[in-house]
Amino acid sequence: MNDSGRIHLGSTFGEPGGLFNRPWGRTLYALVCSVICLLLWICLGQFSIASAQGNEQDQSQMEEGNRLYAEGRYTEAALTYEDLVARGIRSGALFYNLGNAYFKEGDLGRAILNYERATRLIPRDADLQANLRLASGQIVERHELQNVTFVGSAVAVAARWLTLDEMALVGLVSWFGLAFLWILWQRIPQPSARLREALLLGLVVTGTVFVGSFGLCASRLYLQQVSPQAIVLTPETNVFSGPDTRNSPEFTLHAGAKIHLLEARGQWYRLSLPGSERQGWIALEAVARIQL
Amino acid sequence: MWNYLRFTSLNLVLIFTLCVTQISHAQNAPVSARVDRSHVALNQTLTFIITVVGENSTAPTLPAMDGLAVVGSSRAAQTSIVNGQVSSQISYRYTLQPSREGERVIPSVRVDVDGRTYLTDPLTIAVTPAVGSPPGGGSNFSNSPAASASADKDLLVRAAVDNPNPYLGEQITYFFRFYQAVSLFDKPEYDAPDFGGFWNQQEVDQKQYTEQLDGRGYRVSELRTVLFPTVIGEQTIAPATLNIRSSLFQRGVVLQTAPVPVNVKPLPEPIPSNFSGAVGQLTIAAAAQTKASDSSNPLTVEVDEPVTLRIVLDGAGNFETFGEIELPELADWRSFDSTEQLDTRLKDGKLLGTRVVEQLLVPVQPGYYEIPAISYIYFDPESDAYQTAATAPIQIRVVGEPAGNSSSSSAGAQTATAPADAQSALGDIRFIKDVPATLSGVARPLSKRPLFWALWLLPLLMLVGDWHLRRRKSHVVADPVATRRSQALRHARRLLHKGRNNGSDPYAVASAVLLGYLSDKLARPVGGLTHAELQTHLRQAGLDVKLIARVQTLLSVSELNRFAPANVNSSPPNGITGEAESILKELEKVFNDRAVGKSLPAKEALHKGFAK
Repeated sequence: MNDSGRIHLGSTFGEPGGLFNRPWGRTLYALVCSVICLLLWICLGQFSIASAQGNEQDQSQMEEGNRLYAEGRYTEAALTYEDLVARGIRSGALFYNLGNAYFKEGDLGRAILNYERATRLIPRDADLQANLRLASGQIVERHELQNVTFVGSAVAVAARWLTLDEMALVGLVSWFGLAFLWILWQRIPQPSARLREALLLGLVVTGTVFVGSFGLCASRLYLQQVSPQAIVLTPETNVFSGPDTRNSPEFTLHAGAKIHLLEARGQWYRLSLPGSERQGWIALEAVARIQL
Repeated sequence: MWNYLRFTSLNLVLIFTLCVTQISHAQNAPVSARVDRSHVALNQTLTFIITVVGENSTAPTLPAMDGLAVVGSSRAAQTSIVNGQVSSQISYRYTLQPSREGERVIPSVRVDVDGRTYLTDPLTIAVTPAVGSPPGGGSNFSNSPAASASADKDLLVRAAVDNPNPYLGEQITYFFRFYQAVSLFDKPEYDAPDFGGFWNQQEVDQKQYTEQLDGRGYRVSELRTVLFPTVIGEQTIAPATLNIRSSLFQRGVVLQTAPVPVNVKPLPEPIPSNFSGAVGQLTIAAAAQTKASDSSNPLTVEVDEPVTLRIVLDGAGNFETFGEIELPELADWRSFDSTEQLDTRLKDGKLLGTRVVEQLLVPVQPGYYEIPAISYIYFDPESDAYQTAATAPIQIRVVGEPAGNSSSSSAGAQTATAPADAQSALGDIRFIKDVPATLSGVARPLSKRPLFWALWLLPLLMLVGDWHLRRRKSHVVADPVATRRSQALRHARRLLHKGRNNGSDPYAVASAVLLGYLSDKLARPVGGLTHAELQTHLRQAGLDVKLIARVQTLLSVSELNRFAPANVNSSPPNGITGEAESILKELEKVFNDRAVGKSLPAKEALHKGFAK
C-alpha cells in the first residue's frame, strides 16, 4: 500500500513467469528435473545392470569351451558353447567363439549364423568383422543386389556400427536434447545473434540425429518383425515353388546364404533373397533364424 | 407404312444381332480338335490335336478308340497379351497308330474349361493298307508320308538310331534327317520327340549334305542327339515332328517320323562289387602338388606342409551319372573336404568328359609314404567287358619334427585341426576371444521394455508444459484484469500467510489483503475510497448487507488499531487475520456465484479508478 492508502495493482500479482519467482516454484522445477534425471538413470542403470548379471559357473563353462578349442577339439568346444546359448546366455564373445568352432569344423552355415548373431551384440568388433568377411567369402551364392532401397542400405550400414539398443538410446537422448533445445529457443529473451545461430544449429543437428536414429530403429524393428533374417545351414538345399517337395524346384541355396523369411507354413518357410525379387519355399530344418 | 418399316427393320436388327452372336460364339468356342491327315496307312501314324483356349482348363480325357492306339503325346502352351488382355492356348497332341484297316472314328473328347464342359466333334479317319518297308532293326530310317502328293516326293523326314541294341548307359546317337527336293520359303520347325527313358543332349550344329534317294536328289539336313539309355528293356522313341508353315508357294504340312524302337540290354554279369555305373572309355591319372611346385621323385615335403592330391578322370561317357572316385585313406595325414570340377563336351558325335578332384592333405609325421594307386572300374561296350583304370602310386617323403597334435585321421573321413599354413590356403580366421568379465542372461531389448517407451513421453510432456506456460503468459498479457480477478484469492491468501509469518502488523496485513482482494475483483482500486463509496460499490457488486458490514467493520477496526490504538479496547490481534480470511472466503463465494465486474469494461474501470 502506498502513502495515500491506495494499493497499486501491480502488487497483487507477480510476473506470469513468476513460477520461478515463487518460493516453491524453483523447488518444484528442481524436483521435476531431478525426477526426470532419476528416471533416466534408473532406466539406463537397469539396462546396464541387466547386462552385468552373470555367474561364475557360466564363465567357467566358457573357459572350458575355450580350452577345448585351443586343443583343437572343435566339436566339443561347439557343444560347450551351444549349451551356454541354450541356457540363455547372450554374449557377443560367446557367439563369436561358437562361430569360430563351427568354422573350424567346416560347418560354414552355423559359423556364419553365429557370427551374424554376434554382430547383433558387438557390431564394431574388428575380429568379428574379419571372420565374417572371410566366412562369407566362401558362400557359394553371390546374389546380385538389384532392388536395394535407400532405407535398406541405411539400415544395413547402421547395423554394422550400432546395436538396436544403442540406436534406440541415441534416439531417446536426441529426443530429450531436441525438446530441451526447443524450450531454450523459446525461453531465452532477446538472445544474441550468435546464440541464436548456435541454438538453431543445435536444433538442426539434434533433430537430424533424432529423425535418423528413430527412423532406422523403427525400420530395423519393422524388418525384424515382418521379414526376419535367417541363414541356410545345409550344404545344399532346393528352394521349391510351393511348400512341398512335389513342387518344382526353383533354385538351390548353399550353406551360409542369408535369406529373409516371409511366411511360415507347417514345416516350410517362404523366403526371399536380399535385394532380389526371387522367392520360394524352403524346409524349416534347413535354415535358422539369426535373431534368437 | 412407317410402322411396318419400323417393325421390319427392328426384326432385321434382331436377327442380325443373333447371327453375329452365334458366329462369335462359334468362333470363340474354346475347344477344337483336328487331325493332321484324314488318310493314314496301317504302318503310319497321325497326329490328333486338341486345342484349348482358356486359363482354367483340365487335360482332355481320351476315350477308348477302336483300332487306334495312342503311341505318343505332348503338350504345348502359349500365352499372348493383346491390348492388355491375356489369353492362354494349350495344344494337346496325340500320336495315334492304327491297328486295323478301314474307317476309324475318333470319338468326342471331353474338356472342361472355366467350369464348363465342352465336347469336340468326332473325326473319321480312313486307314489304308501299309505302305513302304516296316520299321525294324539296324540303321533303319522310316518314311513319313506327307499330307499331299507333292510332299511324298518333295519332302521327307526320317529318324533312326545308330545302335538299336545298346547296353544300359551306353551312348547311342539319334538321327533326324529332313530330305527336301524343293526350296522352302520359311524355316520349318523341328519338334524333338520325348526321349523318355534316355538321358539326352542335342548337338548344336546341323549337318547338311546331298543324297540320292529313289533316283532323286535331296538336300538333307541332319540333327543328332546323343542318348544314354537309363532304363532296361524295350523302349520306343516317340516320333519327331517337322512343321512346315504354309506360304504363297507352299501348302503347310506336318511331317512326322515313325517311332524308333530301342532294346536296352542290361550290363553283363557278374558286375564287380565296386563298379559305380560308369559306361564308356576312361583313363585316370593322379599327381601330388605342393606350393613349391617340387617335381622331384619322391616328392619331399615338411611336416604340416599342405599337399594337393589331384586326380583326373577323362574319357567318353555320361560323366554326370558316374559314381564318385574313391579317395585313399592315409594314416598320419590330415585331410580336408575335396573339391570337384566337371567339364563335358561333344566331339565328333561323342560325349566326352573330364572330372578333376582335388584334395588337400597335410602330413603330421615324418617318414616315407605312398599314396596308393587309385582305381576306377567302368564298363567298355566296345570290348564288352569291365575295365579298371588306375593311377600310379605316388611316393612322398615327409621331413621335420612331428606335429603337436598327433591324432591320426583317415582321409576323407573327418576333418581335423589345420595348422596355420594349411588353413591360410583356405583363409584363416582370427582366434577366439577370452571369457568376458560378465556373461549376461537373456536380457529384454530396450524396444520391448514399457519403461523405455514411457521415457519418450517425458520430452513431450516438457514441450506441452512449456507451451502451456507460454500460452498462459500470453493470456495474462492480453487480459491482465481477468487474470488478476481469477488469481485474487490465491494472492490474498499468500499475502496473509506471509504477513502472519514475518510478524507484520496483523491489522495492516488484514486491511491490505482485503482491499487488495477487492481491487482485483472489482477491477478498480478501492484503497482510496471512502466507506460510503466502498459500500456503494460493494452493493453494486451484489454483496449482501451483512457481508458488506463485516468488510467495513474489519477495515474500521484495522484503521483504529493502526492509527489510534489508544482508543481501542485490547483485542487479540491474531483474530483479525482470521476474520479477514473468513471474509475472503465468503467474498470469493459470492463473486464466483455472480457475474462481477461486467458493468464496466475492465480497462475503462481501471482508468476511472486511477482518475479518482
